Amino acid sequence: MKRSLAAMVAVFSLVASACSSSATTAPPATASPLASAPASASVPSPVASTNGMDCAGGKQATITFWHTYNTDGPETKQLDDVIIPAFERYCPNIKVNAVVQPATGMHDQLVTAVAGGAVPDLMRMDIIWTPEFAKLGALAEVDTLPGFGQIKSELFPGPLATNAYQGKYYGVPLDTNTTVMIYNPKLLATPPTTMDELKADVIAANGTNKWGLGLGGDGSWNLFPWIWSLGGQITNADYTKASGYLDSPQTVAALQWLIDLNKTGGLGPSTLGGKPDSWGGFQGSNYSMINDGPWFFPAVGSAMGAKPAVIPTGPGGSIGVVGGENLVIFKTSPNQDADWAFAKFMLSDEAQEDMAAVGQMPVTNSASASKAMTSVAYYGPYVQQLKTAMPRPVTPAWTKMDTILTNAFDAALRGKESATQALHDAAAQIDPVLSQ
Amino acid sequence: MAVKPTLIGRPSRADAVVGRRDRARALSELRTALPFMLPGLVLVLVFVVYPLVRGLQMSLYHWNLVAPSQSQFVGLDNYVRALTQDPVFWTAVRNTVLYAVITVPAQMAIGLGSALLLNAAIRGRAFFRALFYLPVVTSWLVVSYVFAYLFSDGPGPVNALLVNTLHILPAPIDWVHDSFASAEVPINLLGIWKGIGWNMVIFLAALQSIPVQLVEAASVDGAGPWQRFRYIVLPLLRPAILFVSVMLLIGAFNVFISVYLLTGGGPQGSTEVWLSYMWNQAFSYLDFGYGTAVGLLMGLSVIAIGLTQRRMLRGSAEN
Amino acid sequence: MLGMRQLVHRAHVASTRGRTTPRWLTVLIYAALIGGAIVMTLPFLYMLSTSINPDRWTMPDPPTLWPADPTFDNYVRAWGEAGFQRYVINSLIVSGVTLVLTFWVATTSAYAFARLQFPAKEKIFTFYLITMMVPGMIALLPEFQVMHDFGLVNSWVGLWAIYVSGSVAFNTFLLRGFFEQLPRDLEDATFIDGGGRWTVFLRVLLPLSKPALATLGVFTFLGSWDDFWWARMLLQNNDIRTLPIGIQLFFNAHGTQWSTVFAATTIAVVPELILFLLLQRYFVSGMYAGSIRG
Repeated sequence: MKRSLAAMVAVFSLVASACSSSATTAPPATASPLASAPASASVPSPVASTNGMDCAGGKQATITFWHTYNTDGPETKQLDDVIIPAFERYCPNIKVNAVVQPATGMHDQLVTAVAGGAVPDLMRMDIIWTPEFAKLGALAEVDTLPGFGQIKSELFPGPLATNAYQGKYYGVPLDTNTTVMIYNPKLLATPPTTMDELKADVIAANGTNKWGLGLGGDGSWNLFPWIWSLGGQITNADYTKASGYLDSPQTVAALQWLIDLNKTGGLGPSTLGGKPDSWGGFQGSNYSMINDGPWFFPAVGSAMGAKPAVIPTGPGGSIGVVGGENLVIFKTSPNQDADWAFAKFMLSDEAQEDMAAVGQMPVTNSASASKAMTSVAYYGPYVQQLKTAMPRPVTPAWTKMDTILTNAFDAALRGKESATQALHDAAAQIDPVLSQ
Repeated sequence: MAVKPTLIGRPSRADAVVGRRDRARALSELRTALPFMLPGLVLVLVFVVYPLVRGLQMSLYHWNLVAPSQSQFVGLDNYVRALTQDPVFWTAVRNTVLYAVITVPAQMAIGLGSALLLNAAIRGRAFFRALFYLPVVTSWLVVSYVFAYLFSDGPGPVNALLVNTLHILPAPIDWVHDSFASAEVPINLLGIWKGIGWNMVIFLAALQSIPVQLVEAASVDGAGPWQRFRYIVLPLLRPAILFVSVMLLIGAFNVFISVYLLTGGGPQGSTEVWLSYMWNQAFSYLDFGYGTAVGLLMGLSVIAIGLTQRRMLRGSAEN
Repeated sequence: MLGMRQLVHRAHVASTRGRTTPRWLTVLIYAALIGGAIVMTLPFLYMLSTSINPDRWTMPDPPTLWPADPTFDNYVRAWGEAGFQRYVINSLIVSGVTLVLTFWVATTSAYAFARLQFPAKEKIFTFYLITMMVPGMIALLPEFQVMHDFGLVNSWVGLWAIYVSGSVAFNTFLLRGFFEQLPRDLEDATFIDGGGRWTVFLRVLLPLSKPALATLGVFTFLGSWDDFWWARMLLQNNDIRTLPIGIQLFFNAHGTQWSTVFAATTIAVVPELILFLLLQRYFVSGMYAGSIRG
């Protein structure tokens, strides 16, 4: 996905884009009757089965909402022109001041804002930062807010889990996503369904300036689906220990498989941050396949006739990585009622489906089953993948872990260290960080 | 403060009168000077010094970001940790010094060379000067992105030049990601490229202020161009050279944005420089106490270097 | 030395004939200069060529200086991007005011050090120099807290405070050197005629300092025009954002449109270029004179 600035991206653990996956089964068939109703009609239900929109008791309030929706795509426009006006029609007493933030350096800016006491009321925050800021004490607990219990039952568990810290919830999921295989039908007739098939396809595609698979980088975001699908693990279930999991024989084998794939010459240079990058290579027909999220289609993919497919099955199954954003309320916000009202609206079918139209996958069962989702051709494999996708370790120490892991993967892929050595060292470095 | 000899014992009446007059003068001088120098002083004290002092305070604590009052006092532990227990710190120091050692002389040499060329050229001086100065007036942000693009892997322009056109390299290098050595190339080249114009302009001015007769007298005396340069021009350039080297050195130690944007300190932290390391510790690891300590250590080094060179400058100006 | 007489004779002839450099040397000099100029500007040429490249998402491969079908679409898109025009105007206002404020504080401060007396003058000057040498980044967080305490977060006033205060030390240093080497005759004459310090400052010193002031002007404007650290940290409202933040908005979380980015950066570079071209002849004397005396 990135160019040679992939390193910069890795350092700041950008790669926001939602990813989310939840371990739920198919969403329930009961959809809200208002699910596909346009903005005009009656008051929408916050989520499928709840009723009524409480507008913070009618109190006047202006709330500041930070987000990182893109501005050269349709996302911010959708928020500003469709969703917020709809909300303000329902709750004329609440004014939403949405401020778009540059995605680069967002984490640092947030740290400064928190330390300086200049945070907004609420924010669309990358899921990987939520535990960290919860630990800092910057976020408000939401499980005590009215109606949380009901909403909880409507949400995908995976994305919801990324809001948890020490048994409490500090936000609600807003959008989710994952990555799947995207292939160019002109270069590859049928996509591989198993890892062995993938390897064969990659080797077959190898040629001058042609590669079978171009990953977006070698960080956690890009490699976790492979590691998991190939049978590896990162930590134990409650994210407290890496040794024995990260350096287990299965994980080493998984990483080794990738190293071997790279040695065949069929793994594109984008994997190691080189050119062409994944998007450019796909567009230039250098890469037959890439791994990326649904945003690829409105931007580049649809125009090229690209098609998505779930990740090939390996010894561990076909497991993707959850991404996405949460909606968090800051503890210092003086308008928590109004914030919560807006949050609930963002989780309503109406808002979720409006966002689905611009590439933001919903986090509620009802919205996922709605026409807005099912009518879009490329969403199918994503929703499928989300059923089994796993989140990156939900811990405040994630940022540090990410750097250690990325260094290890990079060293191993470049042949500077053996897979065993790299993973063993990484696990040794991660354990103390997790226990803090 | 009036300058007057201090007397031991009680001052006499005459001295008291003189003292009063001096004090009165001093007071009136201060009153005149205040409206001129006070705004600057106040601004510096409030917005520069006070935050620095607070930063110094932070470095003595294990700083708690959200509840600063609960920070744990650790004295000089952060400094000890940086100097004795942190190998990445020393990597950052090494890289910063390396950057200074490479870019400063290179910029000066090329800048001086360009100035000499431009001085000899009659036509189009303003045109060339403008072109050479262009990198200087462009922001670090923009030029870093441009250099990232130039040094891209695969068919990036630099690779295309070295592999396809000049055939110096057998295969393209992923400059920014491959290794410490390869990543340092774009970083240092950027530093040199960006500063040449600034050096050139100053040296050009210095060259143009050298009286022509001095040089011509020397050539009449039979001195060749190299001798003229070495014995007439160079000594007269000494103040400019010293000034430039101080400024460049300080600037080199402050390198940050280019590293931050080109490599982010990678691969594996091998290209970290002092300030980027400070930044990472503070913002990624949320260890502001340690980050500030690292930054202050850099500040101290720069002060030491700067003051030493300034003393040298003073010394030469007196000659 | 052997041949001394011939050398002297040749030199004498040369100097009476006027300074002439052999033809081949002149050609060499100009060739070197042109080569140097190309190296200096090549990166910008690439930036420009990418900005007129119709392909938004990828970089031209193989790299060419002139894309296949150049287009100005990227400029149109960058310019029409949400808020971009407002950011440009904001930047103009912020930098303009910074210029005026800095101008005022720097010239008065330098005058005080160059011509006036007050207690601890040299100590304060050394103190200023020390603050120049400590990296401002250290104080990022405390600075933000100071801004917050004064209620200056999310306002241009906060930015102006940071920009002006941050440049006091260096500008005082530079201008002091320049002022000190201006001849005092005119000033003394003005005093005799009954003028005060302010008259001397405004009517004698400043008009004589055009080169230094031009240098000061350009660098101050550039510094504030390019700044994205402080602007980003302080300005939270979209309405008051400046251009560097606007450029950063082109870097999405996924997929950056390089052509548009470089179109935006090219637009951003234009005012800097114009200012520099207008004032560049002053740089030479301004920078140099201030430097050697400092």
